[in-house]
Amino acid sequence: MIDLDRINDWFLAAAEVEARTPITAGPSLVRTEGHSAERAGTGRHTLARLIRLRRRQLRLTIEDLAAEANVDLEEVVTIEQEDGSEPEPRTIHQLSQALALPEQAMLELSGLVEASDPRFREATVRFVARSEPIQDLRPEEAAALEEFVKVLAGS
Amino acid sequence: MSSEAIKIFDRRTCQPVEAVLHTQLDGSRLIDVEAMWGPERLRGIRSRLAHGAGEPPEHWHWNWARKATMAQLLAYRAFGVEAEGLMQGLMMVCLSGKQARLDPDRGKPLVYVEFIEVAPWNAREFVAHPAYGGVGVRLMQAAVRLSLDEGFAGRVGLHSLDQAKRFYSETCLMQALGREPGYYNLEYFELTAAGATELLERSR
Repeated sequence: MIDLDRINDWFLAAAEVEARTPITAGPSLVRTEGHSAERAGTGRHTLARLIRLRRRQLRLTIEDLAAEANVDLEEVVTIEQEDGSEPEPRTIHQLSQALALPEQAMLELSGLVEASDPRFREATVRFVARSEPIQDLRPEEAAALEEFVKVLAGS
Repeated sequence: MSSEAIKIFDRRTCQPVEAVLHTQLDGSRLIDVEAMWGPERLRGIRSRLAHGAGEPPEHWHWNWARKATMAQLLAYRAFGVEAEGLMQGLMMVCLSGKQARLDPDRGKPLVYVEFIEVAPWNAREFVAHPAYGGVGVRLMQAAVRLSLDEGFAGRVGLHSLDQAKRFYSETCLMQALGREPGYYNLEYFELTAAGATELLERSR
């Protein structure tokens, strides 16, 4: 058991090393902020298209999806229409469940969580380029969607 | 919010002091902490400039308020060490979707430390004489304990500056796997199950 109430020689030595070392972990905003707005914009555009295509693939109306995911209809419309606002984490969680899409990847697309894998961004851009919004889900759209979902599932 | 009594080290009096480890901070608490830490970071930067110090530390405008939404998600937990009524350090961990890279535990789940930072008045990057010592040590011990509690055998991973190598390698017994250009050029460190066992033994 780890005793966090004990001050012993090991702890004092560790504290001394800590005092001499910058222990901060995780990417700093100074490195990420410059691109975050542009990334969030691309990600949310992709998220909107992903949700639209997946919804159509599952033959759900927007109302069906809102009911299935137990989120407000207005929230789903807002996300699909890309009004630029940041979605709620709970909404993304619920939509990922209803659409059977990976939650972590959807959080990254929404800009709520920083994407950690550069391949993810490449796949995102490729998906946007290949999936033109049209009335009916054509085979190539279905193929693009399936390919992207596989990437999401593996990220 | 869960909490427990712990001890850290007051560097000004060279005495152990009582502190509180919070193991589930909510987003609003992170915003409160950032409101306190932000001006202190700026004060530290001004002081460095006044004394002719070089570039500010890389994390000088970290913003925990921007991480507040993460604290609301089930996969994330925010830890904090509080003493004298002030938060002395924060850590955000992820419990889902992160896997060990080192054999023999490759592919097994681990606790991933997304962010860890001590208060500006405890960091030599900001002040000449840090107030409290061992805050980061306690947070890392808490991460190992959480890993054990979750059935992850003590495995912990994180990305950090390579200047932190001595702390994470020698003190926390983590193995450095090199810088990752695809992840802000930060160095990846991992504590294996065997390393966690040894860390437990040493810290006993």
